[in-house]
Amino acid sequence: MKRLILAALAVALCASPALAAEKLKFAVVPKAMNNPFFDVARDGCIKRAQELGNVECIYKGPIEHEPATQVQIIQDLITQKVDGLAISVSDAGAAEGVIKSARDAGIPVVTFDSDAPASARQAYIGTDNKEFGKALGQELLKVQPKPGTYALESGGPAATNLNERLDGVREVVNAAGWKEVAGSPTYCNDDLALAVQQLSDLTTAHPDLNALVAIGGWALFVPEGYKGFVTSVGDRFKKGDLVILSADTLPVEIDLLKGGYVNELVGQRPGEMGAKAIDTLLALHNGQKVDEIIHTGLDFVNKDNAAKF
Amino acid sequence: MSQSTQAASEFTNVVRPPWWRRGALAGQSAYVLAALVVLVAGIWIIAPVFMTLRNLGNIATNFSFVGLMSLGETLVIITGGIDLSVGSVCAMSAVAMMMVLRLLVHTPLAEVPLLTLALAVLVAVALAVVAGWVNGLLVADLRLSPFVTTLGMLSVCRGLTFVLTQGRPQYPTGPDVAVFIHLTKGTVLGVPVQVVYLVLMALLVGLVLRHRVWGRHLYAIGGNAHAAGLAGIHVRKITISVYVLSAFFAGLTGVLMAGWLGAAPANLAMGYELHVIAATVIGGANLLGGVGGAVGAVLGSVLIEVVRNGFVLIGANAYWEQVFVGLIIIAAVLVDQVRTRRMT
Amino acid sequence: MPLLDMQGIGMDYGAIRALGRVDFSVEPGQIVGMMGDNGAGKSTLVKIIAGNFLPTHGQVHFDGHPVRFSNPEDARNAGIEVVYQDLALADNLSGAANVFLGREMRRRIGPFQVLDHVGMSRRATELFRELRSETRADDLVRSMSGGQRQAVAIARTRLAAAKLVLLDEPTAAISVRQVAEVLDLMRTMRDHGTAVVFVSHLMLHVFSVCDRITVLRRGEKVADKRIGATTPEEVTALITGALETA
Repeated sequence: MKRLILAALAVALCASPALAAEKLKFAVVPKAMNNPFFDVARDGCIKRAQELGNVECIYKGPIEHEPATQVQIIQDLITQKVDGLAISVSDAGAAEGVIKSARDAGIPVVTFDSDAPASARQAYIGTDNKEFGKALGQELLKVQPKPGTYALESGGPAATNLNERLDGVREVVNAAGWKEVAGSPTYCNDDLALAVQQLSDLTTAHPDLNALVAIGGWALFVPEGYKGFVTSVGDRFKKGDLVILSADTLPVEIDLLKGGYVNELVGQRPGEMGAKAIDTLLALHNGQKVDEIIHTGLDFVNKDNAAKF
Repeated sequence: MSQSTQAASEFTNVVRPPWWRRGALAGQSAYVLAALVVLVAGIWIIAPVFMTLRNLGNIATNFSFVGLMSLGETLVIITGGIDLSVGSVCAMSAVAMMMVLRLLVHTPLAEVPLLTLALAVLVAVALAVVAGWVNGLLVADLRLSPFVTTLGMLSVCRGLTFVLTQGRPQYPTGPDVAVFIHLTKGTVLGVPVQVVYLVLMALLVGLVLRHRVWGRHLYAIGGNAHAAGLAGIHVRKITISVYVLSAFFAGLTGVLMAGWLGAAPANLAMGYELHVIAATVIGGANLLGGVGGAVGAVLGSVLIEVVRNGFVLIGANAYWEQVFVGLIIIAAVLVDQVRTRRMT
Repeated sequence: MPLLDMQGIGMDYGAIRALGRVDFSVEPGQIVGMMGDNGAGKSTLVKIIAGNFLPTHGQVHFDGHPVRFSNPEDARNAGIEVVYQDLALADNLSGAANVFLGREMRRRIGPFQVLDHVGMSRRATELFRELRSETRADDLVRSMSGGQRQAVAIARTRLAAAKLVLLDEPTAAISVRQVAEVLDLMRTMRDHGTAVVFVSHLMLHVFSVCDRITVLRRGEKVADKRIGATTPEEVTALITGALETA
């Protein structure tokens, strides 16, 4: 009997290394968990992880867009010795220190969606945010060829990706003769109700405003509130004296576009970001070389092609 | 040593209060109204667009939410307590309501018109009431400080909200959504429906505070809880009831906000408790208890919203608005002190 | 016949004797002063009368019946009211509101019961007039003088139709001018037939208004005399122990 048990133990011990080809733990840290944009990134990450088989995608971030909390969470993940970190950085300055700590601990780090270019991160996967901003600007010129006044809505003043988008929009439209109004851009800090209120404030303060460009979809994530705002603007929007463009192409936004509440949407591909982040981390883990900047594409949605999305 | 019975009137030395402390000017509300009038006039001159129907409607919708919560908060503050959990309870109710709608949409209950809506609202408000009840029990029975208790509840409710939603905004679904939106959005005779709810509730609260025994007992507890107890007032029951009501108003506001937004974000009303308390304090409620009213609470929320809107319209940097509101709070408390300084 | 008749009252806390065997009585319409140094047992005796706790020894008769007050409500129901030094008033409410605190007058408007502000103000004004006080019913207590606040507290006891009112140091924390007002209030109560127990350490005030004086020292009653039969010097000596009994 004793020999049987010893034999069983031996077999178990031999078998476990094979079973313990443990999955690699890659952590995906969004700017804020309450932003549905990152849900899509997470889904892309999970799907890719399942396809690969030997990778686990851990999705963990601050609930609110709050840089200090994000740093703390990353520090916890470093302590837990994850095998890779993919971060959408809420504050580039704040993240530099913790990214260095991760690299010192031997953990590969990439950023996605929002970069920290001066940090020790090994790659950035995401939209070329400057191009994104420019694309929004160019679509505005297409929708409204006659230059006028415009206002921008942003999320947080310290997010690099958002600031690059703002620059991109301004570069394109200012050159075409558009003028940005005082009070622009507004920062909603991921407070969706505030985002709607700020759009309302902008149109109230500047009743002759010709364009609103939201470089993130916050106000549209609360559709009734947003619809209320558009309705209150009244004729100017209906007649096209005021045009509204928004970033992101989440389903709730596409519904609004189909309902005629927004002129055009320019979307990123967060799912693609999530998946490519996994691929890049895996490559880094295996010691391969990767491109430093990996751009994911843009989607353009307007009334004509909305049915496809 | 014998005392001659001189007329007692020789020994009274309390004079009639000066005109600026009498009658309609006796409360803080009159001064808040005056400040409001001055502010409105100033903004109107600099930015005439302030006085458009559209802007006023906008302001009204915004201040109604804080105003409703302030009504409940005032009740608590009058008794000498405080409720920091109102923002979180608001969000919890909003989110719960959406989730119940979603849960019921594929059940036979959805066949009955308006039943899912009624149940969702019931659950949302019931959750709020439970939170308020727990607050009340901890404060009244365990004698925990209201500040600490409701601070804890703030975290608990906000945390639960995030746990339930995983941080994602909740959208209404089901056959009753149209009715729900209709009841919480739009106008009644040109007035935003939220304002109508606010005015109705403010009237109710104001009348109860002034004319019902329960209302007077709130002031008694706030003024001297020991004396109130000695007088046979049910201090414990009344204390619990104000926390329940504060949470009820917060939950109701959550339901209304969810309808207005068409979604319940998990971070809804984050930080609103400070706006609500500021509104009640500006309106004349004394954090030490014993003073406060419905009119003051509403005026306080109007003032804060007018300031916010004013900053946008005059084109000033929006971040200064917070500084300004803070200064108003301090000014309001100073005015209150000067007004009620004891005459000896 | 005494209104309040306490025989052989004792209060022992284990080995500690707070009150020895004390006899204490009050006739209707009489003002009795209760004096004694700190720790003499005054507050213990007052609390027993007020019903805060039962004595470990002795019997209490009130209004001709034997009574056992196990809580203050029992004493109040029997017609005994206490006005403690802090007066237990809500500063932020009016005089009338304080008089009617916990016993508010109501009236009906349709199906609703509302506070009868006018009624309470009127009745409170009456009460203040009966007490010969200039207190205004609608003034906030916060803005009242010490004497007026006492009037409000005492008006409360009249509203309760108290037969015996215990006043704990009513003249201790008010100005000299208001002392006369308070002493007059006590005389008015006596004139209305209410019995008053005046607990105080202020000799001159006690001698000014009381019919009888009781002195306690170290839990024992050391004197019980008509006011005319003693002097402030004698009472002082009794309190300090220079004189054993009188």
